[in-house]
Amino acid sequence: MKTNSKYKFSLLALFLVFASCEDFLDVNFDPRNPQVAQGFAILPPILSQMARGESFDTRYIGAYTQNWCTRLANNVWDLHGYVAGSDAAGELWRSNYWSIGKNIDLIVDDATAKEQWDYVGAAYGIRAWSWQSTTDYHGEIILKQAWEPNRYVFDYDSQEEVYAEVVRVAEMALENLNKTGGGVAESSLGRGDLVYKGNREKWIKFVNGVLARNANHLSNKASYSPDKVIGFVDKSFASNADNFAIPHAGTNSSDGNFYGPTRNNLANFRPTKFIVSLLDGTVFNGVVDPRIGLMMTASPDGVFRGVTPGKVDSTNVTNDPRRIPTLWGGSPALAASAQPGKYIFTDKADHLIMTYWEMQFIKAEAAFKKGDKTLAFDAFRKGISAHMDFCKVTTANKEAYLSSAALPQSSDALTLSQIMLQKYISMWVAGTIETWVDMRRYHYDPAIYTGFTLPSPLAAGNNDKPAYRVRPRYNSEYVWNLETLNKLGAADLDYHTKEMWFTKP
Amino acid sequence: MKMLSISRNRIGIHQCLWVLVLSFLFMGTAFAQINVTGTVKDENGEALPGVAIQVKGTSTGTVTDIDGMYRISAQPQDILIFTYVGMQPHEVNVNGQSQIDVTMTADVEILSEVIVTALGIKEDRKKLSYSAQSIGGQELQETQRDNAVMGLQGRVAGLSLTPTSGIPGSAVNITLRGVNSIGNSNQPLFVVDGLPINSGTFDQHNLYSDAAGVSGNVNNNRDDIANRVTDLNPADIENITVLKGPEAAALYGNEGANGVILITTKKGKAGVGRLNYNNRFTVSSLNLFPETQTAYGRGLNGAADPNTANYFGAKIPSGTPLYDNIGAFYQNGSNMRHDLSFEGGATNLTYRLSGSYFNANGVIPENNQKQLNVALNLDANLLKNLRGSARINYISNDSKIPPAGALGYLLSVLAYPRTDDITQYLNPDGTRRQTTSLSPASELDNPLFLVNKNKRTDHTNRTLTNISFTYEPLNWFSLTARMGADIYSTLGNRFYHPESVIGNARRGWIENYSDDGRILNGNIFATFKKKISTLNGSLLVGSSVDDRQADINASYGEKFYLPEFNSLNNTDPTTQRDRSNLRRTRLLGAFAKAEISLNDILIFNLTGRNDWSSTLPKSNRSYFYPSAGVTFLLTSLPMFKENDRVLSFAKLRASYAEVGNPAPAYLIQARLAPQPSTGGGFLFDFYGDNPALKPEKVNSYEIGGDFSFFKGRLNADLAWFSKSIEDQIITQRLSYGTGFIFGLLNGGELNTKGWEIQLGGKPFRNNTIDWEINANFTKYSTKVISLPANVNEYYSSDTWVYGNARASAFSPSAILASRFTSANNRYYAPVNDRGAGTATAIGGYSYLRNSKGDILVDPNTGFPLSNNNFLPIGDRNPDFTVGLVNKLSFRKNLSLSFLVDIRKGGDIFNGNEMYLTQTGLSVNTLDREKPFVVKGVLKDGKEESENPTVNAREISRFSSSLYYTTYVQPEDFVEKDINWLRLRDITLKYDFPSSFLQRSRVFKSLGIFVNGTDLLLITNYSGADPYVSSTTPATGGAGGFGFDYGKLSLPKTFSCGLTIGL
Repeated sequence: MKTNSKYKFSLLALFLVFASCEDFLDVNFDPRNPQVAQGFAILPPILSQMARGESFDTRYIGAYTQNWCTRLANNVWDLHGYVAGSDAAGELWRSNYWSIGKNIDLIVDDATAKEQWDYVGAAYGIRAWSWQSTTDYHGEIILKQAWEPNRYVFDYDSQEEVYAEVVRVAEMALENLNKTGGGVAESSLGRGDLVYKGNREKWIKFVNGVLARNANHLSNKASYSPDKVIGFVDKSFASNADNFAIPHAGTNSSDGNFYGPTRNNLANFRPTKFIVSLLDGTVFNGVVDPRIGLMMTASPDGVFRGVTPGKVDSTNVTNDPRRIPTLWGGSPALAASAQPGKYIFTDKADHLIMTYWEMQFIKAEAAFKKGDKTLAFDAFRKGISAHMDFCKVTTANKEAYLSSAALPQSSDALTLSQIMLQKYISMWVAGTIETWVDMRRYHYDPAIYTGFTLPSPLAAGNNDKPAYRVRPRYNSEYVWNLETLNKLGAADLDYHTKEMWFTKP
Repeated sequence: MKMLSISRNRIGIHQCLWVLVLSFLFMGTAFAQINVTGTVKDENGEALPGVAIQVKGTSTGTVTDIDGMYRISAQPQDILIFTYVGMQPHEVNVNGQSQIDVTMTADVEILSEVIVTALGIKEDRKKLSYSAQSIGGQELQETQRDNAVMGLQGRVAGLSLTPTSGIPGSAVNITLRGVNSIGNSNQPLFVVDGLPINSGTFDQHNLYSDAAGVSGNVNNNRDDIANRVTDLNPADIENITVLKGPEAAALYGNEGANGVILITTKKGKAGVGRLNYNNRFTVSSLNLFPETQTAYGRGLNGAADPNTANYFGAKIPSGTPLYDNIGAFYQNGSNMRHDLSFEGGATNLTYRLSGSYFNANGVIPENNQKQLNVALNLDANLLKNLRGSARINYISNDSKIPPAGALGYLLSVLAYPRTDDITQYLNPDGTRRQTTSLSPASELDNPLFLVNKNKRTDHTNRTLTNISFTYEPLNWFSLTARMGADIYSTLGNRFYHPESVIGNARRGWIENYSDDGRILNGNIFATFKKKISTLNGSLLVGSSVDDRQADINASYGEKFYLPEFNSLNNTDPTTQRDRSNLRRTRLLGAFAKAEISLNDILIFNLTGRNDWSSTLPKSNRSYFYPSAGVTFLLTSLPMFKENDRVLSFAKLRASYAEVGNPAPAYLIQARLAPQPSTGGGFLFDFYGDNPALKPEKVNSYEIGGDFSFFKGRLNADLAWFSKSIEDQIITQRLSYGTGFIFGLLNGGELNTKGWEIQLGGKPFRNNTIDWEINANFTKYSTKVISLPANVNEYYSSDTWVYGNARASAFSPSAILASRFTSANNRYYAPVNDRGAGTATAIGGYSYLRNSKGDILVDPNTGFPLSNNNFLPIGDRNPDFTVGLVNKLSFRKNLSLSFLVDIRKGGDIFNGNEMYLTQTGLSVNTLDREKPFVVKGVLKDGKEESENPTVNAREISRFSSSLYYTTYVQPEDFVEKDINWLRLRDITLKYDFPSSFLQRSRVFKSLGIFVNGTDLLLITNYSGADPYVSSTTPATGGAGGFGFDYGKLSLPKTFSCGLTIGL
């Protein structure tokens, strides 16, 4: 009897354990990290990832465009090469698929349920921008199969399809951004919108800017329509106040500008001879550009110097008066933490994704191609003026430069080269990825880019061809999606020199 | 006679535990009592102290005193059972006698061994259908290692231990029978007195600095953080049983899939109180270093340049004074240890209170570990038939470990110019003295600056408690319940001086973290026994609960106000950041075990377990797995019983087991991770989710046999096993097209097959000399049958410490060969087959070859081309290992024991040598001035033709350092088939004879010993010591063993000390 009751007791104990088992086991959610979130918590880091993707990759691509180069000899990037087996220059890939990637859908899902069409529109606008940047950078990419559940190998789609997708997503963005009612409110979007503080009108302008780029990049194609480009530009930014500028708190390396001294990413980078030649009067008829001292720093002897890609900076010797300062404006002998910072090279400087002056230069180019030189000349001057304002050039200096021998004083004197060179200056480092698109459209033509010379020799694997694309991210694709790459010829050592669809007729 | 019995007493003290073990197996009812007295002697007529005497079927028991005398109350019809380790149990019918003298006969050891198995159940070893090995605590303690587990290497077949480094407070990787999980933990479960405890290692990926990629991030491969097994006090361990396979562990559920290390702590013994004190003093010194050249100074391309960190410069002028920087940096380590315990009690209540303290200074300045360990064991007969025991253990551990690995001390010492005095690490104004004009972030710290100015400390408080009750109301029924709590709190601090390499860019940074963890667990089980004629049956049913959490909070700040003040308050508030993680997992289990023994010849057992895991989707949360075993006791057959002089014992066994493994926490729905970027917020974490996750499935077979010859003079235990794991849960890097960096996959299959042989012999034994040899042979390898999603490779990023080489598991070679076929990535079987299809491969870059295997050379430069794909270039798994333990004792007073450890085969990535080569410090770069032609063929379009162009282009490795800095591949630094023979530990011990102790009238026992560990290493490895791991055990999968980079080898140590019993 006694035994029996003990036995029953133990059975009862077992029963009690399992009866409450469901509750007991329901602890598989992370109490410290959410698994869902609202748009206002997801949008800020997405914006930061836009800046991160561009700036990480500009570090390498800036050498292709000769915005800057390292002070060292034979750096492969300076020679239009790449580092094999490395994720270097693969940051846009990372943000397009992962750090921005599906986070866009999180915003869309949450905001759709709450009828926050402004969030939906902003999210799609960013996705359109991201597809555009990623394909312009890598060429063929994963599009249709992206983010498909239970898929581990991915086919690539043509650049033409990605271009069409940009338009499709941008149109969805515009459709949503144009909606009002429901949960749409400037105060609501403003909670997460570090860039436009919830202003839908500016987001609409941004999406039109993406469409302007999309249409303008096809300038070598028969389907190219300057009117379409000008149409998008006109619906885009109206002044510098509309610039898509991502702010940096700049308190430490996590929230500081990638180009700022705290991040210490640019210690070995110097302006190239080419950019210096555009500002010091070499190219522009001996007129020194008032921006030169605002964008870069002279050597101790007062002369602005740049480096030659692939060649060692021989001035980089202690106490050499010709020693080229860092982009932060200090002597290379100073630790990064002691560097003053300058122009967009400060910890708190905004990252410029898209600007009013870029739009004006796009318009100038399109109008020029269309044959409307008056329109082109007007946009050209607006572009320079806007960038000079951004550089804080005094009005007097700006006017002096605009009316100087550096620039054409009439629409008839305007050349395509002048448009592209002024665009190059204004987008120096702050728009390198887009500058690279331009230079590839013109096949690095020195007739357009006056004074530009490709490094010689080019990197070993290039087979004497300049870079036209960046290989897909190594640790995403070369390691885990190799068979697809083999089909594309992306395993070829000179795949990065293969011309893009958009640059071809 | 008297004197002799006293000397035997000392042995008895250590072995009396079995008294307690056996005193509860049998219960009965009491009637009129008589007092029985008597003496127990051995075959030689010597009194046996400490023999357990039990009234069969009751809890009444006693122990013989030092003269072998006992007194016990019994009833006239009772049966007395006499048990003593090493002797055959002896049963005597009381039959109303009041004087019973007994002579016990020595046992064939294998027959008598009672072994602690799953759930703390004591089993007769001969009945087990799987392989289990038991090591006495004293043997481990005598190895004089502060980490109790380290002494197990070579003593247990199938067990592999690799220390992260040889410094106090470091971690040790433990695996049993190879790799189970390709990416998750393979560390075995540690069970103390029947309940699992935390044996894990703090995962440094939880730190803010690591998550945010702060320079100086650790990835489990720089800071060597100890695993929590270091908290176990070797002096408290009565014995360790190693259950190697899932067969043995079926009752522990998923956690037992990696094997179980069962620790039984010492319990108090009834009788006169005893006090034991041991001490130990150790000196350690490092004698194994990578070699460096001193012929060429700093510079590049043959030209001197004091401002480069490389040594490709001009020859150092002869007569230039060279400093012994290695000697100036490393010091002699010292370590002292004190163990104190006292025990006693009456039959109904025994206690043992122990305390130990050690303080170890490593061979690296500023490296220190201090530990205080206090424990109380209580055992009581609470009521008739109800017995309770409790253990409370408090541990305080302080470790101070300088950063190793990349930017750590080991490489800093090697890279420091020999023409400069390393001890001058400060400028006159107290700031960091540099030897180049490079920025402070580009020049490695002087290691003395590094260890003196940077700090990495942790302090752990831990309390382990365990309470158990056993209720045995009837002789066929018992109920056991246990509850345990393992609660620890670690506070860690990392401090990087603003002038140091790591701290410079951030003007100094500090990270404090706390790791508060607990395991609450318990189990309850009932056993039923039934005997029907020759059939003996038993059934066990029970359930268990396990509730774990770890709460990790890290606080970080940078930009110091004061350069040396170690406080977060000394950092710029705008730079202060936090990271917080709370991991919770819960598991419920219900289990049953049935055993049927047929005439004690054939024994069948079956187990079944159902688990409910919190970490799986609700629909897959419950899963069942069984095991079955059969044991055939050959020598119990009548025909063998007659003839037991040669084959004294033989047993054949076979078993099969399945185990289900749940996932780590929170994986079924993707997490959002906090973002440190401007505006903060959340984005998806690296890890993809898998809402349909299933548990992993382990299937294991084992067959084996135990044999004993010549009455135990020669024993053999053989085991063959095959273990497969399917549906692996892997966080696998995939194309980012998935939307994540890592996908959570559920598939693939690994298989481990192996042999274990244990041989034990007593080649020589008489009254004066006793010689015992035990040999353990282990051979296994883990094959990759398939990887999830059919990927080429799984790799552990923590192990990617230097160059393009990392610990990987690769798909079988046929798959790789079919995928890497182009001229730019060709798989070349003679090189790449090594490691293909194994879970212990080294993945890395190799040279690009043509299909015939010639290295391709760039026609423009004469440099070899590299194959920039991670392909297998080595296999770290040894062919086999052997541990050989010799014990020699002379007149039972003087004993010498030593362990020789042999390893045959297995590859090592010598990352130190690759680093030294790429920086021009390797002695293998001394021939740099000799003309050099890369052996290979030109990649000129003819490389696949009949007559490829043989490279004849001469390169100067002196005037162009590029060959060394850029063109050497990790393939060159995989050292193949590394063997070693090492004297792992040796102990000479003298126990003062009882005649001496009698005269002193103070000591019950007194011994002195000298001991050495890691004194001798014979190896074909060119580096310091292949016995290191680049990562802590927090890195899952096969871990970082075989990656030698920046971690200190084991120093040799000499110890001496006293053991005193009062």
